[in-house]
Amino acid sequence: MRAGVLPWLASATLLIAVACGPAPEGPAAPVETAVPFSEAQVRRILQMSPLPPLPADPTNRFADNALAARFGQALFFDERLSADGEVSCATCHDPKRGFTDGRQLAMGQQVGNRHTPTLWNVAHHRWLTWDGRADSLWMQALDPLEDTREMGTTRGMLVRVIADDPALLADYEAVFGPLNRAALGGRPDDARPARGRETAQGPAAPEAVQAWAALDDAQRAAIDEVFVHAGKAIAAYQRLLVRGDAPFDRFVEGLRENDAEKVGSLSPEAQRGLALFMGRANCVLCHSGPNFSDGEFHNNALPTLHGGEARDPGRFDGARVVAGSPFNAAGSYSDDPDGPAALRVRQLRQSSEAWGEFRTPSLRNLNHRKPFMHQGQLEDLASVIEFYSELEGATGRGHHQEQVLVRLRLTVGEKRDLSAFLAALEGSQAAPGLLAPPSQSAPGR
Amino acid sequence: MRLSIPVILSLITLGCGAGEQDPPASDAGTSVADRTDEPASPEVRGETLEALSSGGMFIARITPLVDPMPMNEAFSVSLSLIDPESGAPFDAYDAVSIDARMPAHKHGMLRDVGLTPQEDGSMRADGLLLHMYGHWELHVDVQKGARFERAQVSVRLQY
Repeated sequence: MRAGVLPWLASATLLIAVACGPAPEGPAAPVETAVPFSEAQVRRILQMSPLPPLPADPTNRFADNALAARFGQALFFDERLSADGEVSCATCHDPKRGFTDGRQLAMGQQVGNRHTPTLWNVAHHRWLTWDGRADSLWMQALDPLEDTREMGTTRGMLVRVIADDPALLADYEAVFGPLNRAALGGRPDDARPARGRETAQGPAAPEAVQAWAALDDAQRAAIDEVFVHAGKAIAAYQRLLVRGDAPFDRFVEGLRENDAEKVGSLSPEAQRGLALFMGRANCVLCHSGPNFSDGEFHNNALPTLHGGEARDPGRFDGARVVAGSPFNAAGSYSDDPDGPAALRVRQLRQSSEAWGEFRTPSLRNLNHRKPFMHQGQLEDLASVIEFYSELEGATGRGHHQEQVLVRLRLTVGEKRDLSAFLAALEGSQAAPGLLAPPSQSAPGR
Repeated sequence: MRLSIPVILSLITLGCGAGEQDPPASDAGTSVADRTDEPASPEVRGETLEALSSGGMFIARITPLVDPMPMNEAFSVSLSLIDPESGAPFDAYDAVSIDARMPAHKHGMLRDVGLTPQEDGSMRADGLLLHMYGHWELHVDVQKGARFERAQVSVRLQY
């Protein structure tokens, strides 16, 4: 996003018109808005819409492959990819609930420690999950598969599920070529390496870790190849989960085109909310850009679900995990190990100031996403606005940590206006074919 | 595509067809020799920001290799260290680093931006990221033995 370009373009256009002779008609009067936005405010508003095309993901050469997306969609809804055969990605990322689950804390094989984040517009983020422990959608997709609290399966079992299902295997091979049979030698069904802290604390699935250790290097590499392909396919599907074209976007189009009807897409109440969002409330400080998220990490002093001080290290740990993973953008499984995303992860610093920071969520498409925040500790949007208004129950922060929030003391009317504006960020409906397994629907695209 | 103000003004001239010819080099206040000092394909550069270090050991000159500095997009800068007394390049140090912070928010980039030496004696840092609007400080820290000094420039990212 670039400040100041559009006004200069507009000025340049005007200068061209002036320099080249009189225009046939005088310039139209600026369209009226319910709120008298200043030029500077209009400049800000124009930077917030439309949602731009998806950023490319050169670390995944299958990112925009339609067949890969269809295969990934099948995996996303497949409950066989879990320890008990009853949990799929869609169990927590339920399309009917805004790709979350309506629970405070995620519930897969066990209850997790964080709220399920939405997947709408997820491909617009540079870091994934609340703590940014993944730097690509495909890297993120691998993690829940083997997390004992989430799906709790193993990469060895994933290979077996694909190999034993003729339709799934055909879809796999149509995208990635013949499945490497070396991955199937012996009985690697329940094999996976130790995960992160498991190394120090003892594995949560010791038999699977022992089985992994017993495999030879070639077989481990073959299994990892299929595992990564699965992640890249799921990522290709998740890249399709985009919803823009909200009433707010039509309002901004109206400002650009001087179209009063489009400007009317945003109610006077919502326009006042927009002014507040950019002004006194300054929500835009973190919720910036067309996806209404800076994509970075902040400590907003939220009360904790368990009471007392925060115990979740958030980004402090996420930075360590992503930097140390063989599946990050700089690793050997990346299709662009020297590109910008690789530079980003190589430069990461694990700093104490990141302790307790979580990624700014997008404010687009908030319907069905309650409860909110990383522990689901605020039950609805009214509670979120109330918290930022009064900061009641805010947890203390160390002197070395971020200090962004100030008590806003919003009036009842201001809270209503802000809610109206947030409601106007609800995008157009996604294609129904994306919201169910591909066998029950039209192809993903 | 990013359009700087000069580029836009150039487009205006082009858009109106034949306008005034460029003045001869001798009238333009810039000699041909001066121009040959420029790189063959000059990068877009922002205004150079300059600061004397805390103990007067060096001057840091930071030139963004983009104009203006973008919000929430990675960008690069060129860094030169100068001896304040002689005006010559300052290279008598053990370590140098560059960072950016928002003092009002008590947070920074959380990136270790490396510095790559350039042929002209300057250094290049890639991957700086200013992810919020507001007041940022760019720090250049130099270590020479037991002595640490910082030069600091302020940047305000505005809409």
